[in-house]
Amino acid sequence: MFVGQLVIAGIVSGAIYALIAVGLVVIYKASHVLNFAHGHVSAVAAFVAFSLLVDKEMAIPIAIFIAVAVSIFVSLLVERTVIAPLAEERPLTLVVATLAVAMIISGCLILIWGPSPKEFPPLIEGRLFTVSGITVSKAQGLMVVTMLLVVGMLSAFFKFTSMGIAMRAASENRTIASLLGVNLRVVSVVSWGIGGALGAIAAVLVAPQLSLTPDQLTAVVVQGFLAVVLAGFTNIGAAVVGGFITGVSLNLFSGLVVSDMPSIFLLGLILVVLLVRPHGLFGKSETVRL
Amino acid sequence: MTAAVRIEAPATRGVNSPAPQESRSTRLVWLVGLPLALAAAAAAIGPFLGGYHLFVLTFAGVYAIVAVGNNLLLGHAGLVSLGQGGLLAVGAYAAGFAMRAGIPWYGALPISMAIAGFVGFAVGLPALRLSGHYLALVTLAFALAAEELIIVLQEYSGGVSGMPVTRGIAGPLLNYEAIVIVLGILLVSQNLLLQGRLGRILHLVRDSERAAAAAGINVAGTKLLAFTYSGVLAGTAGPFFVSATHYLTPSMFDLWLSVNLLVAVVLGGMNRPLGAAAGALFIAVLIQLSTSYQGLAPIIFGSSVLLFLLATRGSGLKGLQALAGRLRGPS
Amino acid sequence: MTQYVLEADRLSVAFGGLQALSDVSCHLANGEILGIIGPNGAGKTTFLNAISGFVRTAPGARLEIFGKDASQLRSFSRSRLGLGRTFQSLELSPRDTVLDNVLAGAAMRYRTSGVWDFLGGIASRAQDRELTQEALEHLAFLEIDGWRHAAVGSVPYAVKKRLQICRALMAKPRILMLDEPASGMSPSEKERLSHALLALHAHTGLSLLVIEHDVGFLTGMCQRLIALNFGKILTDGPCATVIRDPRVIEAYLGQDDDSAAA
Repeated sequence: MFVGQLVIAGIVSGAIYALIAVGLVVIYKASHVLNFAHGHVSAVAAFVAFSLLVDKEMAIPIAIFIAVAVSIFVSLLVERTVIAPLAEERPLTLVVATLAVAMIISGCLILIWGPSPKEFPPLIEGRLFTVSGITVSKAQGLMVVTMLLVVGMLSAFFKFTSMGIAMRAASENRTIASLLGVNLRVVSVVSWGIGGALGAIAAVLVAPQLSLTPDQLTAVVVQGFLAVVLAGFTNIGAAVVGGFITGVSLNLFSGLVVSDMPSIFLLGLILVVLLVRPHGLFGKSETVRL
Repeated sequence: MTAAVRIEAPATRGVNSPAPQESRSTRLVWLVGLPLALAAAAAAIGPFLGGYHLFVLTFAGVYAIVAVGNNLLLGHAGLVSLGQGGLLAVGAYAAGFAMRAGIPWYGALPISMAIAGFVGFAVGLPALRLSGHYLALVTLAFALAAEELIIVLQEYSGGVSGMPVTRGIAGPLLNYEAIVIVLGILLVSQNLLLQGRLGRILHLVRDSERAAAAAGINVAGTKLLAFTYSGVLAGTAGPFFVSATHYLTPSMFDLWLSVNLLVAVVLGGMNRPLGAAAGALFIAVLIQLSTSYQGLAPIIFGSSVLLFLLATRGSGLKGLQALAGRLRGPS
Repeated sequence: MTQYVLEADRLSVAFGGLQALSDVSCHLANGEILGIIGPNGAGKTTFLNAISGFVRTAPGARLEIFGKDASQLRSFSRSRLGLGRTFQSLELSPRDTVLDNVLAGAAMRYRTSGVWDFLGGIASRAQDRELTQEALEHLAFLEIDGWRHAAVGSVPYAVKKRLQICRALMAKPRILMLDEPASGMSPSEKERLSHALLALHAHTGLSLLVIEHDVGFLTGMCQRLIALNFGKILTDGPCATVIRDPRVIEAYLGQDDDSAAA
């Protein structure tokens, strides 16, 4: 069933968007900055993995592990050298700063790997199952399962570990949290580490489907951004829902209506949603038009 | 009604004491004289520039026109837009269509200004309910959608293969001079506008919407006006862009363009439009200089921005501006 | 049809689960000075915000300004009816000068506006001169004219507070709502301010709505007081009666307020 196939594909890309969106939300809740460099930091993992897999012919799990670790390192580097020093500046400064970081990473990626698109090898091949004419590949299954595992672990982390609870406290109210003994610096570092990890995992999972250039990956991440806007920046659950809504609706639209207008569709979707709920579907606080 | 609890301002000059009122003529020199002088200088060196340099500076001028509009939008109205590249695309393609239809460039100019202005208005509508990061994202989505729309409408726009436009201002030198003149006019008029009522209103809307509403300012209308203005300026750049390249492809208007236009304004100090124009010049030159080393431009560019932001933090850009302000008087 | 310049009836405001205002009603007669008192968190600022239109009120509320129904009007439209106000949080433009901030308050008085500004801005220049004169007079009246060219971000707090009042006056309001105008001032400064406000009132016939935490400041100025607590009206009446009301005193007990006394 064609629509069914579209829905499955939508759920799968939704899983990727969810991973990206959750990473963005974790970072946003810690630093109150929209990390416009997220796509490029995540892309680092994809490129490193590419080199390790193709040039060094490393085993897949090891290559991915190293690649994600490199991304996390870059993310932490960004946090320490750019975000922390500029933490007290107004939002615009941080927007521009993360954009600048994105530029730098983009330039580095092009210098090191060259501008031509890379072909990323598939992580896992073959069909997982077929049900009433709808086929789900192992790769697709991997994406969804990974997302569920990661988000599940993250939720448990936030709910049950002391660091997780501290981070939640800090995102509610920094002043009170620090008065209660929460080390804000550690919270920030851990958040960016988590964000970087999530983005990296998403990038590595989705890389086989794209012709790999830094900008291609950014396109995916931007869609993840829009998923977060759609859902509101409130929490992980909202981000996941936003990811799936984006994934499924985009796939249905591309498959059933017009196939080459994803950005236009997303813009339209966002405008419609924000018209009714200016802070996203799950966002808080109502604004009054002055 | 006696007793002196008058709060006297300190008599000595220092960081916290008010600067004396500078005479109108000093202010006029900075606001009108400087841009005109620079424009005259730029116009004068035109005939002596080689083809390549002329090309680079022409592009810089086109970007500067858009950046000046963005300066009002961002620096003075406080609205973050990552969609200015999309507005330039609208202006350029509108001018392109008009010129291909036989309309000379000076007829295409009001057309592109009107259309881009209208689109700017449309982009501004979400701004009424959004702010900060949200606004940045929605305008970013617009920039992407604009690029995509050009490709989707490829029967008309030539899509990825591009749209050639043979008409235009006769010759690269004349195009350059025209851009310099337009830029000069825009810089002066924007300076003068920002000095008066409009500047105060924009600043109040930027710094406190509630206080603006309390003063009877139509906050929503003001924001829309700012967006429309930035669109009109992007449209103004349209015919000149087309005359420079004689060819339009969507890849000329990718997301990086919008990012660069935002950064140009920030680097320029966000205060004076001239700063934004200078920022645009910096970008254009840097991009052109590094086409042979593709990764280098973004790295240099991004690093300069970061260094600039880190250096001017604390007081942020205000520090740099306060310094400039001491020299030039109130913003 | 009413003799009141401002009439608010049954204003209720809720933020999420928190009821900030419950069924608050009040009226202001022409030329009257009305004080609003109450402990922290009583809902005083929320009350002003509801009148200004910054927060939504629950249905069933009625708000009339100069006899016109204002409940559906946008915030700036209410201001244009002649409603001015100051803010507890100042809400100034720190990068502009004191004079520019004050002039910003006159935005709606220009004979030209909006689009015409873009088409020249010349028309507004002539009015600039008149309005600048007026602004300087207000600044002189509140004794801060020496600061007129200072960047607002760098001026002392007391100057900022007074400059806010000047800014609000530039709109030529007929009702002026002041949110804690005397907070952070020394006793002598407070006395000066209350004299200035009374002089203003005598001179222009302005109707005033003043929120103050310092009850003593108000007793010198107001004819009537409204006391709020937990978003509800405790009592409402002539100044002397309200401050002696045991419920009001009790609400202030435990507050670090040296002037809440019988």
